[in-house]
Amino acid sequence: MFEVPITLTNKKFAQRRKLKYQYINHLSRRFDRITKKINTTDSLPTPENSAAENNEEDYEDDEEERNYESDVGESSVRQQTKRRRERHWKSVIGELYSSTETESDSQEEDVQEGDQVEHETRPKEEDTDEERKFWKKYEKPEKSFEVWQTVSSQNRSPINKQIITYHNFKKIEKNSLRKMEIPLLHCTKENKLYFQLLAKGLEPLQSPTSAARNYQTRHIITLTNLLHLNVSRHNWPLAYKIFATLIRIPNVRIKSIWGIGVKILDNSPNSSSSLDFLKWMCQVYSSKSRFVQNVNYRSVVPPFQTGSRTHTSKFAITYLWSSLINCQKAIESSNVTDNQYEVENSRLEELIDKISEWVLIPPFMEDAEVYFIYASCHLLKADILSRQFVNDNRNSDLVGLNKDININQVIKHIHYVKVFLQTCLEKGGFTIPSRLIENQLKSFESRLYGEAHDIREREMVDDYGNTDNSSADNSFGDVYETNAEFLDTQLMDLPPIENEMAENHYSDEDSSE
Amino acid sequence: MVGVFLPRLEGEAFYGLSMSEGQLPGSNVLGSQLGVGVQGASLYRPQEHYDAKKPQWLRPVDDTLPERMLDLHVVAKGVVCDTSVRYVSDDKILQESDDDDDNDDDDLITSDLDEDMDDVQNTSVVVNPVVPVVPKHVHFFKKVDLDNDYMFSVNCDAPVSLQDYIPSDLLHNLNRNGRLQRQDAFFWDPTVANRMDTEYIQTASDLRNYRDGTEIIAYASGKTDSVLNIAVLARQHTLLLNRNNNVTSIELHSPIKSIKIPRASESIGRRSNLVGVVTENSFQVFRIESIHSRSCDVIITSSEPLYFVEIDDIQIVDFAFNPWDLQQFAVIDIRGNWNIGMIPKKFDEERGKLQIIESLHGSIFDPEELSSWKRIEWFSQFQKILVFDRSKMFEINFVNDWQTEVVQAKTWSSIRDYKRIDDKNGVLLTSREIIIIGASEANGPVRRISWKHDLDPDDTTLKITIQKVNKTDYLLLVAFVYSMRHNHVYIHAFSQNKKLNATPSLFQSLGHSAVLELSGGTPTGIEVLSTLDRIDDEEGEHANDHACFITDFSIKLRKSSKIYHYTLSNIQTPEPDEQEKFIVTDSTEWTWLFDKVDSRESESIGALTAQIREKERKHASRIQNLIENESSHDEDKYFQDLGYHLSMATNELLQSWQRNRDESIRAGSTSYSKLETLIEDSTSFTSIPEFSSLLDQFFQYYEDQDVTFIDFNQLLRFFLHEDVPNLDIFYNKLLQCWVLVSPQAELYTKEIVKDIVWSLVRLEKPSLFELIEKEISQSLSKPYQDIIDSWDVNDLNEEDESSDFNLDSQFSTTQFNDRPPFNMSSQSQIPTIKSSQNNGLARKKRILKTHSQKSTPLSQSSQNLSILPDSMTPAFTLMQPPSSQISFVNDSQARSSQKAKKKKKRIRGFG
Repeated sequence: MFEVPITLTNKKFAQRRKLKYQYINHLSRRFDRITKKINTTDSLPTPENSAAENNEEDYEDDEEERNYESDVGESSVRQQTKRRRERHWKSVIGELYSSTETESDSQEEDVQEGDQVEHETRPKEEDTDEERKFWKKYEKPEKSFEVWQTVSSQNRSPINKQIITYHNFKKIEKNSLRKMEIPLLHCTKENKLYFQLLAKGLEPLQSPTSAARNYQTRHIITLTNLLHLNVSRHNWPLAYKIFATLIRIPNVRIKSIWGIGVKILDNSPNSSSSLDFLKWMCQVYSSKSRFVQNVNYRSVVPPFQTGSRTHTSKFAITYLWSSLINCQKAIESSNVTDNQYEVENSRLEELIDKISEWVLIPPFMEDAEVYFIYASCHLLKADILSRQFVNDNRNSDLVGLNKDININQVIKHIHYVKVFLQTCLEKGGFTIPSRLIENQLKSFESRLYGEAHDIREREMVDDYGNTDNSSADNSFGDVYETNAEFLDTQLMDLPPIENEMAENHYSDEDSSE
Repeated sequence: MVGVFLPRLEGEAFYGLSMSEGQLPGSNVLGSQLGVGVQGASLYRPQEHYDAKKPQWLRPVDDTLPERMLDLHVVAKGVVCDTSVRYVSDDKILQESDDDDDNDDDDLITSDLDEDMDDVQNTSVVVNPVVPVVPKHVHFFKKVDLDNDYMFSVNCDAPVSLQDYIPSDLLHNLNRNGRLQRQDAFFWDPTVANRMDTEYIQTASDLRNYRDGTEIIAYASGKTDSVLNIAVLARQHTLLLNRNNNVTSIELHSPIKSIKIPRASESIGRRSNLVGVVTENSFQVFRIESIHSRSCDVIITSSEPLYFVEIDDIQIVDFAFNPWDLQQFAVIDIRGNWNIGMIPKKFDEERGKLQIIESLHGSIFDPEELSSWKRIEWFSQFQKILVFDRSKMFEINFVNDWQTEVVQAKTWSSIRDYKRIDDKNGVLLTSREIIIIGASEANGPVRRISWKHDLDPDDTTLKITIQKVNKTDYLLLVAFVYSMRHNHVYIHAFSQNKKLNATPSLFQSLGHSAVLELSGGTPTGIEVLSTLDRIDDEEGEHANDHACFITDFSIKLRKSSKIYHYTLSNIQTPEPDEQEKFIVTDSTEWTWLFDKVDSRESESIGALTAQIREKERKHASRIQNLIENESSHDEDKYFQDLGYHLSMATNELLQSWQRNRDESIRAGSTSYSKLETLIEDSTSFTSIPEFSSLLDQFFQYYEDQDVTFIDFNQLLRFFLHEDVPNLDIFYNKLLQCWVLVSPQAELYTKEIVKDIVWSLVRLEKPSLFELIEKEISQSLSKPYQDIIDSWDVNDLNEEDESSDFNLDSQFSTTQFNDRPPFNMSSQSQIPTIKSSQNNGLARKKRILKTHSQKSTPLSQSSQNLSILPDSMTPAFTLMQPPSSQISFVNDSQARSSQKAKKKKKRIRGFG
C-alpha cells in the first residue's frame, strides 16, 4: 500500500519497461513524421522546408533499416545532426517539447555532451536503451516531482487545434505495432500480454510491490506498511521499533523514509533526538556533486531524498527550520534571568554561526530559503533583545553604556535581517511577506526609544497606502526613509537602487496623505 | 489624542498587514512542500503582548489544530442501496399486485367454469344455451402453472434487455483460452471513472420555492452496468434511499463508463440539475425536471445521445460542465482531443441534440502517453479549462486561444486524479503528492501546498475525493485517497483559516494523516468514494469545540453490489446511543433483521442488547477494578493485616463456641465455620504463594490449639483430577488451561482460586464434640457400643476424635499413605500419627459413620463441594466429574445459591 524504501527491479519488469519505451519512442517518431507532413503542406513551401523534409525521409528510412539490421557503429555523426534537426523541428512545431528557445538550446547542448560521453564509453548501448532515449528528452526536476510552470505570457502558446483523428492514430499505431513484433517474439507470454494491454490504453492493476514474492522484499513491504499505519495512529513506541528494524535491513534507503523517522523521534521522550538525527542525515547524505540530467535516477528520486550542488536537500532545510523553531520555543518558555535562557541563547548563536558557514558553500549559497532562515534567526534575535526594553524598563542594567551596547546589538541584528532578506530576494524564486517583516523591524526599533508614537502613526499611514503593492517589488529599507531622523538604521549605507525606490515611495506616500 | 487610540490601531495594523500579506513564505513556483516530518518555510511573527496565546510562527503546518484531529472513527455505517437489486417503487408494486388480482380473477373464472362443468355433468340433460360450446379436446385445469419466462412477458414500458448479450466470438475466445479472465486481474480500464455519484441538485421548482436542494444518487446497475438509476436520498442518521425505495431506472443499452452530477459555482446561486453519463458508445445528458416531494418520483428528460461516431469515433473518457454556465460542457476523448459543446435549454424532439461547437476544440495528444486516462475540468474562470493526461496538465483558455503546459510529470511521478474544490482551488493527486492548486492573482494555476502521501507510486488506481467541512473559524478540506487495490482510505486534511488570514490562498496542512480501514467483505479495493457537501451546518452541538468534526461519504467497493454510507467523526467519546446505533447497523444482516421486525420485537431486541451491554459494562468495570488492585496494593502490609484479623476472628469464634457449646451443638448448627465468614475484604491481594504460606502458618498455629481444618488440598484434587500438592501449583495449572482463552486469564484465575479457597476452608474444634459423643455412645445399645469401643482399642486418641466428624481427614490419611506431600509445614505431624491406620478399617468406619452421624459430616462435605458450580465443568474438558460430586452439587444448589450465581456470572466470560 505504501512506497517501499528499496528499489524493486527484476528481469520481468526490466523487460516490460524496455518494451514500453521502445513502443513509445516508435509512436512518437511516427507521430512527428505525420505532423510534419501535415504542417509542411499547410505552411508555405520554402526551400529549407522541402530540403529538410527530403532529408528527413531519407533518414527515417535509414533509421528503420538500422533498427531492423541493428548495425550501429558508423553513423554517430549523422545521427547527431538528425537529432538536432528533430529537436529543432519540435521547437518550431507545436512547442510541445520545450517552451523557450534558450531552454531547448541548452538542452540540446546537454544532449550533445551526453552523446559524446556515451559514444566514448559505450557506443553500442546508445541505440538499444530506449528508456534512456526517452528520459533524455525531458528535463528532470530536482526540487519537485514534476516540472511546474507559472502561467505567464511568455509560455502561452496558441491552442493546438490539430486533433488526432482516428485514422491517423491507427496509422501510427499499426506501424509501431508492426515494429514491436520482433521484440515481442522474445518475450515471455506474460510480458507480451502486458504489453498488448498497455498498448490498448489499459493500466496495470498490480505493481512491483504487489507482485513481489521474495521473502525479504515481502518483509520490507510489510514493515513499511506497519510503519506508516502506526505513525498515522500515533503509536510511537511501536513505530520506533519498526523504524529501527527497517533501517537495519540492507538496501533499505533511509533517504526515502527520513521524514517518518523525524516524526517518530519528535514524539519520543528524548526531545532533541530528532534534531540529532537530522544533523546526522545532513552530515552523511548531503551530496555536493552535480546533478546530471543524463542519468535516469530510477531508484533515487531527488526531491525529498537527495541534495546536489544546485539543490538543497529537504532534510537540511528541515534541520534548519526545526532547530530555529525549537530555539525560539525554548527561549520563549525560559526566563530571561534563567540559566536555561543562556543555554538556549547560545544555541541560537551556534545556529547563526552554522548557517553563516553553510552559506559559503553550494548548494546553500544559492538557496534563497537558507538566506531566509538566516534572516529569520536574526529577526528572532532582534526581537528577543529589543524586548528587554519593553518588558524590563526598570532593569537597572539598561542604563548608560549597557543600554548603548544593547541598542547597538539590536540595530546590528536588524541590519543583518535586512541584508539577508535582500540577498534572499536577489536569489529569486522565493516569496516573502516582506512588508510584514519590515514593520516588525520598525516596531523592534521603536521599542528601543520607548515612546515613539509619531513613528507608529506614520507607519499606519504607510501601511494603508501600500497594501496593494505586491511583495516581490519591495526592497528593504524604503519605508525607513520617512523616519530617518529617528532611526539609526537609516544611517547605514543602502544600495543606490533602493534609494530610488525609496524616493518613489516617498512621493507615493505624499499622494496618499 | 493619538495615544489614546494607539493600542487598537496597533492591532488593526497587524491585521491589516496579515490581510495583505498573510501568506506563507515559500518557493514562487512550488509553494510549500510538506510530508511526514518535513518542515516547510515558516514565518516568525513577534508580538507586542506576550501574554496573548497566539502562535508565534505561521507555519505551513497548522498548529492551532490538535495533533489527533484526524483520528476518525466510524460512527455509523449503513447500506444506501444495492445495485444488484431492482428497486420497484410502491406504485409499481401496486400495479403488479393489480396484475396478480387479475390472475386471481382468472382463477375465479376457471373455478366458475369448473362449477359449470359440474353442473353440466350433473344435469346433462338440460342444455344451457348460454354456456359456450367447448370443443371436446380442450381440457380445463383447476390451476395452470404458466412458466413465468421473460420471453413471454410483454414489457411495453419497462426497461428491456436486462438479459446479457454475449457476442459469439467472445464466447469462442473464452472457450479457447482462459486468458481473458486473467487479464482482468492484471489490468483495469481507466475509462471507467465512476459509476456512482451523489450530489445536491435543484430543479426548477426548487428554485422557485427557495428550496436548498435535494440529495440524489445516480448509479449504474445491471449485469453489464448499462442501467442508469437515479433516486432521491433521505438523510436520517445515515444516508438512505427514500422511503418508497423509488428508483428511476433507464436502460441505456450500453455499458456505463462514468456518471457525473456537476457542481455549479457558488456565485451563480443555484445548483445544477443535470446528470452526465458516458457509455461505451455515447455521451448523454439527463436533466431532472422535477421531483415529487412525497412519492419521490424523479421526472427526467434526456438529450439525444451524442454518439462517438459523430465526433471522429474516438471514445469519450471524461466530461465536465461549466460551473458558471449550465448549458456548456466539455468532453475529452481517450486520445486527448477536447471539445466544448452546448446543451439545449429543453430536450425537445427536434432540439434535444448536444451540440459541439466547431471552433472550440483542440488536442493534447501525446504519442508517448499510452494510457487512455484523460480528464477535463473547469478552472477559475468560465473560459478556462484544465486538461490532464497522465503526464501533463494544460491550462487552456478557449476564448482567448492559448494554452500552457503547467505541469509536466514525465519523470518521477505521474498524475492520478484531479478534483475541483471551488471557483479558486482544486486538488491534484499525483503518484507522490496531494497538491492544492489555486488561482493566482492573474488567475493562473499555482501550486499552493503539497503533502507527500507516501502511497505506492506504482498504484495507478489512486483517486481522490474532497469533502469540505465548514467550521466557524476555518474551512477544512478533508481529502480521501483511495485505491482499487485495497480497502484502506488515506485521509489527509488541509485547513484554511477564516479569521487570522483573510488571504484565501493560505492553506495549511494538518501535518499528519490517518488511514481508515473499511472492514467487511473481501479486501478487493474501493471503486468509488463520493462525498456530499452539506448545505446546512447541523453541527450545532459541537460548534463550540473547534477541533471536532463529522464527515461522511458514500462508497462502493469493487466486486460488491452494495453502496454503503459511512459517517466518520473524531469526537473522542461518542455518546452511548450513537454507539448503540453503530452496533445495530454494524452488519448488513443486522440492518436487514431490524428492518423486518415490528416495533414490539425491536423493543425486546433492544432490551436484550441493553442487557448484554449491561453485562459487558459490569464485566469491564470489574476487570478494571482487578487491574487497579493488581497495581495499587502494598502486599506485605495487607497480608499482615489479613493474618491478624483472621486470627482475631478465629479466637473470638473459638471462645464463643466454648461458651455456648452444648446448646449450639444440640441444635445441630454452627459448630463449624467457614473462614470466609470471619473476615471482610479477603480477596484484594495478588500473590498466591504468599497467600498460600499465610494459610499454612495459620493452619499450623491453630492445629496446635486443637482446631481442625479441612484439608482443602485434597478437595482441589477434584478439580484437576490429579494430585495438587499446594495452592500455588493449583493456580498455575488453572492458568495453563485458561491463558489461551482470555488476555486477562491471570486475573480471572487468581479470582477463582481465591474464591475456591475461601469457600472451601472451614474450621472446627473436635474437643467440643467429646461430651455429646459420649452421650450418644452411651445411649446406644450394647452391641453398637462394643463396636465403637473396639475402634478405640487400636487407635490413638487423636484419631478417635477426628474419626467422628471428618470425612476429609479420612481422605487425607489415605492420601498420605500413598505419597507424602511436598509442603510439610502444617500437616507434617499428621501422617506420622495416622500412618498406622489400616485402610480396611478406615473404610468400615466411614460406612458406619455415614450411618450414625449423618447430619454434620455429610452436609458439611456437601457444602465443601458445593462451591464447584456446575457450569464450571465444561472449562475442563478433560475431566469427568465423579458422580458423587455431581450429586453433592445438586444437593447444595439451594443453600449456596447466591454464591454460585455470583461465580457463574464470572465464568460466563470464558464461554
